[in-house]
Amino acid sequence: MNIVFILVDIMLVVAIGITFVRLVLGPTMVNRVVALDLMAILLVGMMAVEAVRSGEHALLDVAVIIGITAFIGTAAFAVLIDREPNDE
Amino acid sequence: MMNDVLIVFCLLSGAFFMLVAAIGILKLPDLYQRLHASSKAATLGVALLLLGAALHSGDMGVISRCFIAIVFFMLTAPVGAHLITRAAYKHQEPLAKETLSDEWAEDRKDLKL
Repeated sequence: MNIVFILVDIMLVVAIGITFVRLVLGPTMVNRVVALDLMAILLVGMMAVEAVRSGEHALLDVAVIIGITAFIGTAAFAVLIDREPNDE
Repeated sequence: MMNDVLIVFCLLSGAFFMLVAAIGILKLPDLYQRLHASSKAATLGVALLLLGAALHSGDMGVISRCFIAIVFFMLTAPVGAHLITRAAYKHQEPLAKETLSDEWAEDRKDLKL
C-alpha cells in the first residue's frame, strides 16, 4: 500500500510540474488560464489521495471547495477575456 | 482484500489519467486541443481518485460527498471549457497548422457568439 501512495504522489507532482511549464510558456493569457484550471484539478486529486492515506476524510470537503473556487475563477477569467475589446 | 485491490486500481489509474492530461497540455499544438486534454482526461482522473477515496472510507456520509464532488466536476468541466474556448476563438487565438476546416474564418472578427 505504501509504495502505491509514493507512486501516485510522484505521478501527480510530475503532472503539476509539467502543467507549470505550460503556465510559464503559454503564449497567450487563455493558455495560462487553462493551465491554472488544470493545476487546481490536480490539487483536488492530490487532496483525495492524502485523504485516503491519512484517513482524514474532512480533506474531501476542502477538495470540493477548491474545485468550486477553481470553476468560478475559470468562468470569471473567460468572461473577462470575452469582454475585452477586439483590436486586431 | 478485494476492496484494497479496487482502491489501488482507482488511485493508480486516476493518477495515470491526470499525468496524461498534463502531458497533453504541454505537448498538443493549439489551445483547443489542449482543452481537449485538460477537460476530459483530468475529469476522468479526478473522478477515479475520488472514487478511490469513497471506497476507502466505507462511511455513507463520505461516499455521498465524494459522489457529489464527482457529479460537480463532470458538470462544470465542459461548461468551463466551453466558456474559455468561446472567448479564445472570438479573440483570434490561432489554430494549429494541421486544422482542416474553420468555417467561421472570414467573419470571425465581428462574430456575435
